[in-house]
Amino acid sequence: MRQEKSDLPQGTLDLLILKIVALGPVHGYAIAQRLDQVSRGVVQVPQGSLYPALHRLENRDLLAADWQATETGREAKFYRLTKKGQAQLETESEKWERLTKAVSLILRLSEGGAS
Amino acid sequence: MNWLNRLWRRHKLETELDRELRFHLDEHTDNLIAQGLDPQEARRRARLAPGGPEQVKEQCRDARGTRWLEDLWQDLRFGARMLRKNPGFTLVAVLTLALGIGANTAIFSIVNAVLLQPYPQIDTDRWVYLWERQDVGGMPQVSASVPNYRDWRQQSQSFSAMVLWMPWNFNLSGSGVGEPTELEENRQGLEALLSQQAA
Repeated sequence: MRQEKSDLPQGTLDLLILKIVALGPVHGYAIAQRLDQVSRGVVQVPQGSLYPALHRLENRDLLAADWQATETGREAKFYRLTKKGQAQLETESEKWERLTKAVSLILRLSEGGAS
Repeated sequence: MNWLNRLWRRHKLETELDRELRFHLDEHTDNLIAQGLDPQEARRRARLAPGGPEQVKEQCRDARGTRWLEDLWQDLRFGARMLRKNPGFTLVAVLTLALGIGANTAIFSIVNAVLLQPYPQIDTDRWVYLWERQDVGGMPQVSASVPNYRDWRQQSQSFSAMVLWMPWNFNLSGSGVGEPTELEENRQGLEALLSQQAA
């Protein structure tokens, strides 16, 4: 089963990436793995979505990147959160919370009944 | 890196992108090997998994935002290559363009100078004819004689310039056709008159 894009809308993917990076500088592959593990396989981001998203975030100065050596000795591009990125993360998280609460409320309406 | 920088540095960005994706591939391969796969198989699987590195690169290039300019540049270079391959066609096309542009420019220059530029305003409201009066023949207006013209020109203060007009086809001269006056002072007078107007 091959997907061209992940099921997440673009804004949500950005939010998740920012959150992962907020936990500490990390390279692209690790981000994808982390998302997969923590979401228990629900969120699987293909490279075709992940790297463009990372680069877009970098262009917007929400992430900063530099090349460092990993434990295996190879060099990888590590991303870290900028101050601007931190602020963006907080705003977007808040928006997400609000949105999901609202959606839950609506979904809990039973048929034929008022809220 | 802002948009402009991304445009100039795209070669550097391309190499970086390549490195980044290569790293991802290697890590994924290692992971699969750690899970027990045969190295060759792991490599193959890793390469297939995301849907092809070239596709990923394309999408990353789109994210850069400089795509349209890069594509335009590539198309121009391709066009130039094709032209080089067909020198005959190129020559004809260039000559046609040159002819068209040249002719157009020439015609427009003329039209511009003749029709479109504002005509220098000549304030003819301030021009007057000076006549002599000949009571003998009962003619109130007769053209001035040259010596009189000279006198008037030297002695009067009221006129900024004075020019002698020699009438053409005036029967009094007898020869039937007049000649343009060739007095030196006339020429100067005419110049003075017109240059004042143009100011």
